[in-house]
Amino acid sequence: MLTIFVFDANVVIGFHNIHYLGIVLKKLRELSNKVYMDENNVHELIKESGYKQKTLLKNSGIFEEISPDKEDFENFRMDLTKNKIFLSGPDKHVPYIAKRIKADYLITSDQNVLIKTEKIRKLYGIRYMKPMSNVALIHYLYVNGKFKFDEYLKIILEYFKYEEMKNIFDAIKNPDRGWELKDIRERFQLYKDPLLDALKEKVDGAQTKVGMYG
Amino acid sequence: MDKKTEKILDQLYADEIDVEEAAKALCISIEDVFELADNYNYIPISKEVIEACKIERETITHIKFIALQKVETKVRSEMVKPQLLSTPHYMDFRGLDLSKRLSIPMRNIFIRRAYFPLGLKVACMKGVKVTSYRREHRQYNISKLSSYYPKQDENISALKMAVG
Repeated sequence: MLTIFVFDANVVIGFHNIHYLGIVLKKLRELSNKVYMDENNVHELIKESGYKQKTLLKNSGIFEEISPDKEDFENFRMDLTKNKIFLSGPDKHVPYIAKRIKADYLITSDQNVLIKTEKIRKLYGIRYMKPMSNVALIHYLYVNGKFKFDEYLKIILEYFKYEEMKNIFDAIKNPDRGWELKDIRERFQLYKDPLLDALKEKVDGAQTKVGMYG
Repeated sequence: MDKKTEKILDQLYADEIDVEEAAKALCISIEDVFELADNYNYIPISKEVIEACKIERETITHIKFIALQKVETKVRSEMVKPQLLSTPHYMDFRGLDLSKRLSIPMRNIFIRRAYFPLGLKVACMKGVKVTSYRREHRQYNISKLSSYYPKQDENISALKMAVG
């Protein structure tokens, strides 16, 4: 069954920073999935990091860039304003396009977009467009058999080291919005739980085999 | 950017105030508020971090659930195999003036999809034990399954005699 993803620009940048963008797109193609991005988010991507990542997306064979419908987008924007849901310029286009094409998952590493997407789902009473981060996308590929455990572990830890640590560092050093220790622990927990789950399943599976044939 | 503007933009991002209120508080147009907000790096507060983590955890659980469902569907489709089954069905020829009532066995042959537990060589279908050997016979040479109808030949010869 075809699964549709909508990417925020930061997802592409995040994976590219740890040199896994090509691999992730290849695995998504093997699962016959599709990736969509609003043209405004593609412009944001080019503005922040050049054309290289867009080329990778285009060459993947599963990527499609969509132009927003002006009137439709205006109605969406008005709905958000009326319901006091604020999203900045390009960020608004992520849930907009995901809602328009009825995407299964919206991927973003921006926690604000993640929270607002959930609010938008509740506002329109929709069950698709589930928000998730890069980490959850890697988990998706793992549970669908596209990564072996060691690869999965490596990517998650790389992402934590280079991307999450950077976010945590920015949040800590901000004097007005500095995160508390419990916030950082909460972020860490998000990485720890799926990894331990996967490890437990692997160990349990190995033990069952030993029990059967040992 | 001064502290007051930052505070108002933080409130705007946290949905505590709307764009109009932000424009009023900053004494600028709504369009200018959007422009300011686009260039502002908003860092979520503690409550939002916890909320975002909760949402992500829910999605991860959902992903796992869907993946398990896929595995289950795949395994089930391997367990389900179309089978040709013939079951005995006795017909009464009440209309015929016969000295004794005859029960003529007929065979209803139909294709049905049946669940067989993986790796099991024998399965019970409507009280009939179906083995792989009999399944093959049922598909390729039904007439050889005479063991199901022990009185078949007797009944047919009796009917022939009665009809004349």
